[in-house]
Amino acid sequence: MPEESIIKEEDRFHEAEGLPFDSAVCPGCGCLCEDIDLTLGGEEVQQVFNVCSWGLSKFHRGHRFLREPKSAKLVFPSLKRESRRAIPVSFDEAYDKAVSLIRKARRVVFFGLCQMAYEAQEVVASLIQRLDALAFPSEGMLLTPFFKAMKTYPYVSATLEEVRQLASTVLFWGANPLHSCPRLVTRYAVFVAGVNAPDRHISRKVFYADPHENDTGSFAMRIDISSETEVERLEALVEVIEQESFAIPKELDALVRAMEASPFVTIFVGRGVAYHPESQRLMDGLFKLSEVIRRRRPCVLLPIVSDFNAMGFYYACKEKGLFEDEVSLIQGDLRDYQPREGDLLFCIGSDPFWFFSEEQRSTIAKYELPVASISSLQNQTTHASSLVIPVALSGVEAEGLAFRLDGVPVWLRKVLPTAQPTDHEVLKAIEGRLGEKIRG
Amino acid sequence: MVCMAFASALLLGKVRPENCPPLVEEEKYAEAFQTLQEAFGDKGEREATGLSIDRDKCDGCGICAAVCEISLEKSQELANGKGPRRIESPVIVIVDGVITIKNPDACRRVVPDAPTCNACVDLCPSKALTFL
Repeated sequence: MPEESIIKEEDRFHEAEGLPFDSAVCPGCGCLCEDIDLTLGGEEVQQVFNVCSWGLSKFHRGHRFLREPKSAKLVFPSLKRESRRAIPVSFDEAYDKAVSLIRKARRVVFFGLCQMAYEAQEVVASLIQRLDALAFPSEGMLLTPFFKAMKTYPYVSATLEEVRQLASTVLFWGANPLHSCPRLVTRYAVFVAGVNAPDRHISRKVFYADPHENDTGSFAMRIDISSETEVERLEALVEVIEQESFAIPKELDALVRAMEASPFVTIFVGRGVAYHPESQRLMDGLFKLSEVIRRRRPCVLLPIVSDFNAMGFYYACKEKGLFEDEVSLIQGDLRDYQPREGDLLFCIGSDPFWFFSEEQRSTIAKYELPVASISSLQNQTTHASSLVIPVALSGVEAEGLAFRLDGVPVWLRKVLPTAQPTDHEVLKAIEGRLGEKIRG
Repeated sequence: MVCMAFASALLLGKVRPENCPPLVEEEKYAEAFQTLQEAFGDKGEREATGLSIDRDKCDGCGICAAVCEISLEKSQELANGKGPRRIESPVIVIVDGVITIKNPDACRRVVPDAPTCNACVDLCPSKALTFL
């Protein structure tokens, strides 16, 4: 047997040679994992330790969900002229064009806004207020009903570290943590020891409410729901717990008993709720559920957000009082956007064209609505944009503040160098040129 | 190397099916070669621990590392809900978004007289791991 055919034990694990960079923060999802160790080689990341496949692509300046991420970085600002070909322009020209598009627009509609630093989100929130603009945040389907429910029901939160220590019953409602925040279960919610769960997943009672069986079932018990029965099942659960009823429906029996025996309950809510035709009623029901549980034991409700700074955007809007009005400028579902003549589509750190329906696309084309993009990466929206302004990738090429899914602020570290401005710098430049006078 | 010695080396992960010339070259072994390729071949690299990893399926959630008792003993960070530091040597680490065996010698599967353990395989939600 030839010697080279033998797999040597020492060859199984290699640590790449390069400059170590420890404790970076991952901008992959709302968990903002702060235990990421990197090995850098030149101006690239060579190896990433402790990162899930979601976060890995960010460190390679690529799109999420790609197993072998490739850089999709935008290089220079560009403008489409009559020829429809993108022509490189200077940043100054790009800022002037952005201001001119805003001034000409009858209505500015923002998209994305959840994958940028908080400092930039504050500027956007201020622009939304000044321009009376509409916003469709990328996590709007989940967080808009969540923040609206906060106005009606008392809301109690906890940090993920408290969840790790105290949670002994965990319920994922309409949420698959493995597909939204892959490390949430290992770092905080299930597979880690805490005061009330010394034997980790063995001590914890974990449930997931979902219309379909999914991979969460490898460690959690399923509560069978469907869009027809979901609201009724949730309301039955609230009633049983509120009235301490002995007549527990069979399918809820294990969950109710686990909650009754638990010193601390955590409910994670995900996008599944948002897809329900009565998403606001369902979200209100989950707030009500956590409220009735809290009458006898601590219970917290946390959203599972997959865009790393979705919470930051909602905090910035809350700070500006954008949720106070009955008719909110902050919309939920992107599919509800009805393009109108005179709209300017202003997309920041997102790819709404990937999600638009055929009807939305054709209306946008019919009215020849201008599209402006501020983005680090190329995507369908940047290809459809008449103005593209590239920015440094937050959390990789630029530092800044972000809020974890539990609302804890985390400082993103700069890992790689770049010559591009941050999203905050770009938005400040546009805001500055816009000045006091918005129209004409 | 005789057939029995080759089979032992195959089970220990020291050789691959394609290292046996008759298996590759002789038509009568074609079916056996295909079966062995599926079990020990290139898609799921077989580790010294007997673990076959399907890297296409792994999302790097780290459940395998978090439920590995030996890894928890060898990494204080892991026991505290974080990823292990570079200087620590747990059995399993997550590198570039995929499970990687860092310290195969410590795995209960290869330590003599250690209790049998299948925790990493049993709890992997994406079924990326199998023991051969």
